[in-house]
Amino acid sequence: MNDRNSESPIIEIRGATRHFGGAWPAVDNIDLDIAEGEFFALLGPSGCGKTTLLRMIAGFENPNEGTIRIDGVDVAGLAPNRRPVNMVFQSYAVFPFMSVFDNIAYGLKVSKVPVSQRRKRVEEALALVRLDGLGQRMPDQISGGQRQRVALARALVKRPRVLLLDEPLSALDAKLRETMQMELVSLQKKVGITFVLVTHDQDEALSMADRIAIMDRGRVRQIADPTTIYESPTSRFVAEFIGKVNLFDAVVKEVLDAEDRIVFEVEGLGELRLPRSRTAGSPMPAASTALAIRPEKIRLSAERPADPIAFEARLEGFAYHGSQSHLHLITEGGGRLSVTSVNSKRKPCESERGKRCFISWDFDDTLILNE
Amino acid sequence: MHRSTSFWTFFLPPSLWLALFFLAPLALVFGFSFAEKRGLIDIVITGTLDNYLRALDPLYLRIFVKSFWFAGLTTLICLIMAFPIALIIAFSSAKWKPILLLLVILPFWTNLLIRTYALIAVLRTRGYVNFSAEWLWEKANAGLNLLGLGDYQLLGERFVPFELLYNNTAVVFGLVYVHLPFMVLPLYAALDRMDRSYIEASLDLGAGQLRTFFSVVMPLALPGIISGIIITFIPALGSFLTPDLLGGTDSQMIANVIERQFKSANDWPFGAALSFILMYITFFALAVRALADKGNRGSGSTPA
Amino acid sequence: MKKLGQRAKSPLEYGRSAWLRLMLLATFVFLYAPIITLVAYSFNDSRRNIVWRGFTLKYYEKAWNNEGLIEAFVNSLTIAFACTLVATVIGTMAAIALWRFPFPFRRAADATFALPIVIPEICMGVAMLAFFSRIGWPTDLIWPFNLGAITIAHISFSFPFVAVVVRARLASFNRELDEAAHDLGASPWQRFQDILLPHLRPALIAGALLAFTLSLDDFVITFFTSGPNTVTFPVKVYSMVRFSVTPEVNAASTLLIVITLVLTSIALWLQNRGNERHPG
Repeated sequence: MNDRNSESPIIEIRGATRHFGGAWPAVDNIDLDIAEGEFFALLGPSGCGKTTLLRMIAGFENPNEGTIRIDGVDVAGLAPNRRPVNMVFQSYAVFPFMSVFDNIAYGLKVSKVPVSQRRKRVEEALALVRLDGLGQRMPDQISGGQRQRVALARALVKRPRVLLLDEPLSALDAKLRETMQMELVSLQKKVGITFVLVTHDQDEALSMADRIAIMDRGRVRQIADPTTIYESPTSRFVAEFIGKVNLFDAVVKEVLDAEDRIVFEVEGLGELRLPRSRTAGSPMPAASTALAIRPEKIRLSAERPADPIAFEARLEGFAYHGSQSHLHLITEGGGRLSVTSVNSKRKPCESERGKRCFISWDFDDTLILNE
Repeated sequence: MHRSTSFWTFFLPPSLWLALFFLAPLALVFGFSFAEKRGLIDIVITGTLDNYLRALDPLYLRIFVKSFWFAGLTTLICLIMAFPIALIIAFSSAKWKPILLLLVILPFWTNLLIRTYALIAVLRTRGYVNFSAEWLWEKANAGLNLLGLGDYQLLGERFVPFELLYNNTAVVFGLVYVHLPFMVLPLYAALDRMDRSYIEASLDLGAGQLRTFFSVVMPLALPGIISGIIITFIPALGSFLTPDLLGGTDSQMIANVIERQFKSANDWPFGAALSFILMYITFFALAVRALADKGNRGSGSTPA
Repeated sequence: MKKLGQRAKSPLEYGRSAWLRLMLLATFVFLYAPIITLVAYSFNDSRRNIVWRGFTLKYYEKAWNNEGLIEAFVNSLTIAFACTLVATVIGTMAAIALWRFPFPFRRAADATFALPIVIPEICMGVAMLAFFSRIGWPTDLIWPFNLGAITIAHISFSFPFVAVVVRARLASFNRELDEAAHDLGASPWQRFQDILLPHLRPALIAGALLAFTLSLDDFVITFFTSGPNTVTFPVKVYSMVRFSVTPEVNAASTLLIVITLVLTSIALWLQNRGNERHPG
């Protein structure tokens, strides 16, 4: 995985734009590289353009502007069946009037693979998705999870360079979804080809993908590995879209060169000092910016802690969720925060509304969001 | 195959067929409706409106009025008969619903001619109704004889069969018989789509069943009612077979006059004008239905 | 089966109201009594056709030996077969063209294809009469070509019905199936043949049966296009009915009812089965 940069990417998208006549383009000037062998996720709310982008890679849509290269070849105007990619559809699109075997064999049949080879490859594909022996079943005689595997096998049997998956797990129930997530990841490692997954489910993307592109309104907002996406979002949108976050508007009050600190005036919290190194990764914070902190990074204590970032707050309410509780607090400055606390033991201030307590967190957990 | 090639492959054959063997004949009749008859088979399209004006002649106007009256009465009777049926079916259990629906649709599939013929067999002077009536008459007379009242001839000297056929009543009876399913189906569809909680809310708020029916069910079913009225009225207005077979000399409807113009009277231009007047009425009614549909969409029965 | 105790009627169980039940029963008697008596008396061994004199099939035999009736029946079947074939093909084409391709005036095209369904039969009948006599359609062809005019008229009014049935089925077509086949390398023709046609099959059969029954049943439009040598079954029955009610006509009518009911039931059954299976 480390030599990813040395190879040329399997998918190379430059300036891709697709208009459908809406208020903004479905896909708006996107640049994206996907490396060989990568499990890549396109994540975003519905209508963000992720499916359109996937369908442009598959060949069901063509960009108005920009180019898409697959394995170095410009695929403009190339029909879906002439691209080295295959797709698993959201509804699986398993042909209802063909047996499982015939479904998987269909792609080989229409591309005139000899019968003897066809048989062998279908059997291999069935084994790969652990459907051995179910070849003669009809699609209405197997479960939803099995239908999904048929769709996978049908696409993989064509030996594509890239497998495209359009919300492949959304039709499954929650429990099955979890096992299928793991299965998809191990399947990808086994076959070693590039998977591009479209999903609106952040858990799915975080747990399965090597890299994630977060999309919104046709644009890519951030491309990074799951940890970076969660721990270091670069924009309000990404911070809010992935997980829960407490967001505060802030302005830079002054820069203390001697102490190597930047002083922010944070709405609802008051003054907050951060080391300059905290902003090193991003450009110098704009005069007005936003600070964010994840609810699970906040500590609660009855006495004022020694931490450099600490505020006094009052417990407004809480919701008990068993393994954890969500607490709602108001700071003296009127800022509202939610805090997730793991219920490993009962903490005194958590059970009484109106009770005063202290919240604190680390420099490193403070997110500075410039967009 | 290119996209547009395959479009024309699919679109062209049916379109050509429709144009040649449906629209062209209609256009021809439309042309004839503005034509003059010169000689036995010579028809010249002159753009005259005489054929339409002739339809206003009291003789034909009377037939139009009569046709409207027959069709209107048929529609009304169908509505009154169909509503309870539709109500029962819409609110019946999942087991009974398809069976009852099938029972309503089944006569629909039986040949119109045969159904009309069945009515003749039932209603004619020597038909089953009169036969049963005669049998009852004989039994009643025998009863009276037993009571010693036989000499007074209370029930008439002999059985006089009811004249059930070849009059206006028979025509309306036949029209209702034939068109009832047309009314039941749209009413059923409207009632079935209706959100039951409206009715339950009305009952809960203290309205009785009858009041609920008139102030909640009827307004909510209005699109279905309008639909039903129109799809019953249009074919009833254009009926040919029912008045032809069940009606008397005084029960002619528009279609019978049209048929006469084309088959025996040989006045095609006038027949063409009459048939296009029927078409205009049809289009008007369909436009009303489309408007009613549009007005009612969304504001109605089912939330999402 | 265990019988449950009588539960009080809940307000929306209109089917359990005695009044409404009575009305329902009366309506069904009204709808069915004439047809059932007609069928029953076709087996009655009595010319007067009123008093039940025992079961007989002799009127069926008589109908069978009535040359004119049989000839008309053969004509009807021939027309219905030809009509079914053409109407199913072009009706399906129309449905696919209107469903798949966005083109200008599509709504107008939709409405135009529905016209034969909505205009009064009499208008279509006279239009066909005028058309075939004006273009000088030959009337002296040998059988079965002399049935051409009637067949054409039948196709014109029945193919839009086929289109409606096929269109309804198309609405449930999952376009991802077509895209999947495309993605797997199938050509447009292969996709049509392997994916779309199998999906449409129940509708094609239902539409064909519908076209067949519509053609077999039609009287009004045929009445205007048939000549003395091209009499169909309903036209023949009409001419018999005008004169008298006879058990023979009852027998012939019963046969037609049975044929229609059987065909329509098959169509309906196929349509339901098609919709229940293959939901995705």
